[in-house]
Amino acid sequence: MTITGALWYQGESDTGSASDRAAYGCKFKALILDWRRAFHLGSGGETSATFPFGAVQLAPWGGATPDSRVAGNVNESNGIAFVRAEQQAVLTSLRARYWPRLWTLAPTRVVVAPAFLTAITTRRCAFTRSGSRSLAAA
Amino acid sequence: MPPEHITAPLGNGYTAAVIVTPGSMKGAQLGMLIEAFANKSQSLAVVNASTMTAAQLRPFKLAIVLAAGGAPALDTLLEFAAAGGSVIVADGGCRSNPQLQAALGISVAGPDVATTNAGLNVTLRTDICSDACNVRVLPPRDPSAPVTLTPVVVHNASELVNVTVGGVTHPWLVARRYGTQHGMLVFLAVSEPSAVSTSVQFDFSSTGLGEYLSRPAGGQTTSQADPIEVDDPRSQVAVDHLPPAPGLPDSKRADGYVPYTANVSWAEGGWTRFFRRERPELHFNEQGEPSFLINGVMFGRDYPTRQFSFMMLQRVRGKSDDPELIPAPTAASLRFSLTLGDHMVLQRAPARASIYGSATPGAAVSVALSATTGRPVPSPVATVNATADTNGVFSVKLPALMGGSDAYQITATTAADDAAVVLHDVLFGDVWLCGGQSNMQFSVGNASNATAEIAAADGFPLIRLFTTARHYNRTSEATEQVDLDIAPSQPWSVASADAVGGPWGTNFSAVCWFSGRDVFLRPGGGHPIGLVSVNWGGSAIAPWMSPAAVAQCPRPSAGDRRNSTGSTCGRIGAPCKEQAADGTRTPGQSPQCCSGRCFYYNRGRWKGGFL
Repeated sequence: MTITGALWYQGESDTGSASDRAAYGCKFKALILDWRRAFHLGSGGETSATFPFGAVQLAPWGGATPDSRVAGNVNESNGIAFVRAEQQAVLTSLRARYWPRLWTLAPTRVVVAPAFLTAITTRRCAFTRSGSRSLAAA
Repeated sequence: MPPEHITAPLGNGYTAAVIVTPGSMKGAQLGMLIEAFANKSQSLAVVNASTMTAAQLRPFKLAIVLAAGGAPALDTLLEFAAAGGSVIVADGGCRSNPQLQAALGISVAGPDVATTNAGLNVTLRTDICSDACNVRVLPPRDPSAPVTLTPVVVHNASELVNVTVGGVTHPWLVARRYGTQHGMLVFLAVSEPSAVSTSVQFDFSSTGLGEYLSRPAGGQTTSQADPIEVDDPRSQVAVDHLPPAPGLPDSKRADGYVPYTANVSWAEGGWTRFFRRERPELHFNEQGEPSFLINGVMFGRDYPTRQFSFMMLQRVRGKSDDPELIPAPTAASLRFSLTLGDHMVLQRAPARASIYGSATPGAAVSVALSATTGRPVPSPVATVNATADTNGVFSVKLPALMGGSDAYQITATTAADDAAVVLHDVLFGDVWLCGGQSNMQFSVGNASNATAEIAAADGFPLIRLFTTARHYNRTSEATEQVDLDIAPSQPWSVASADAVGGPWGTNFSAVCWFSGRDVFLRPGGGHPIGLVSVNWGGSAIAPWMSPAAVAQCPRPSAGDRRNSTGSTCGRIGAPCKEQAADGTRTPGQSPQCCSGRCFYYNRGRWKGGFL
């Protein structure tokens, strides 16, 4: 199937164990690569190999205190916060573009606090195995 | 009460409040009403008349009054009616309430004769009655099923729970509430026509609910150790509390899952609720009553959090193996992939859409594209030929089309005698894929302002929706799932109130819908949008990746260093510091050390900071 792009909202189930949390950033980036490659090849090259990949960052869990709503507020005893930080790092490394209108999309009544939704446009940055940002500024 | 009569005032069938007074309500009466709604996949909230406020009623268009109690409730009802709300009064046939009738300007002309106060849009119905009434509301039940479990609150549901009553298993859909402020799972059990004693079993093993079984402190607990409670003093129900099973299973997928089983006795017409609380203190109102106000409907902002605590249930209707929702694979060998369908959106230019399906291996397949909008007969645009491979799969690329509101028809034929297969009403636009776990699965109906948002969906016929079915490759976890040609949960559908907020199977992802709608509405938008929703509650990230991609992220070992994106970050013992804003690095710093947080692995976890 030829597609324009993808949205992703996942990560809660990778907060349970330390090894899952530690691997999330790597896996998240690998997934983006994987999907881009799969759809690019699967559509005979019609789907962009750098298609936009939007991700909803996990909402803070376990309470709606003001502090927990702050992006990047990492409490490493909290798996959600850890994975949030992983997501934040990956999205930042890929020059995530904030998509403010989509702030309101998250099911706020369920996830306690608004989630952070970020869209990535990667035409100006590159994926490398080292996660280099050297091309990001180009 | 014929469900058809309920449908009209509800529009999309979303929300109604049923007003009761606990002391004067018959459980069977409420149960029948609830079932009538459930049969229409509609939602129903129960409001306690003695504590009812105008704010509680404000989100509703329709209130059904089973018992209104005294003057304060009447004032509230009048205010609701005067503001344009519809009121159906179930009164007079069984218990006449002259005060209520006088206040609302209605009167009882006799059994089964309803009168209406047109000025206030208040209707008196005498056919919503309890067993004590001569009017029979619903057809007699199957005597072989003397106990029915009835959803108290019906809403968009997402998870399957098997409830076994007296040996008969009923699949139920449960919509979950997330967060620590809410969350209660409610079943209403109604016994009729006679007293009965039987066992009730709740089996969550096939649901994503199990993902929380191992987190008793996380506010999401649905463990089987939770007490099932009976809070109605009139229900004459005895529940045997089973002791918690030793060693709760760590997950729903763990072997050894033991369903919760309770032995229950009902008096004739008796009823009870089963509910499972996450945070018991949150589920009682100021009067200390457990939330009779099981307002499973997403109430408006005016509604105090503490007073709505709920889970939502819905009888399984149109679940994934429902033949009504799933196009049966055609007997003919020629067919399109089930990921394609009528009303779909194909990717527009500059990309070319790919069309694929199956045919007899080696068969020459001709795929014709025709424009249909504004034409008495389809007008040919292009024809593309392909040959099915040895696996019987054919794939073609259509010409790049600019897209727009014009609809096309795509026809595949073979030289053999296979019947031609056709995709109707195909648009060209942008196709977006939406994937993830339960928060992506989370439906529009559960989102804020759901009723209005769902109603507004009728205004976006150029957005088309598709939800895949869940399909689990049970052969090997290491095997990549490549067979996506399975019947969808929601075939390609034109966006509408029903398609966006309809019952299970047509109950669309909130994030996906709102994102797609925003893309459609943004400047420069307005072209067709195809939304493909693929989600699985509770799933980890690895199943969404190819095995090769997973293999790129091995488990770390002690001493490993990396930066915050998971890349290797310098050698062990090397300094790892922040990169300066201008891109320069501190002399002596490891060149592999990128900006961002630095971690080192020790004692089973990554730790931030410098080693």
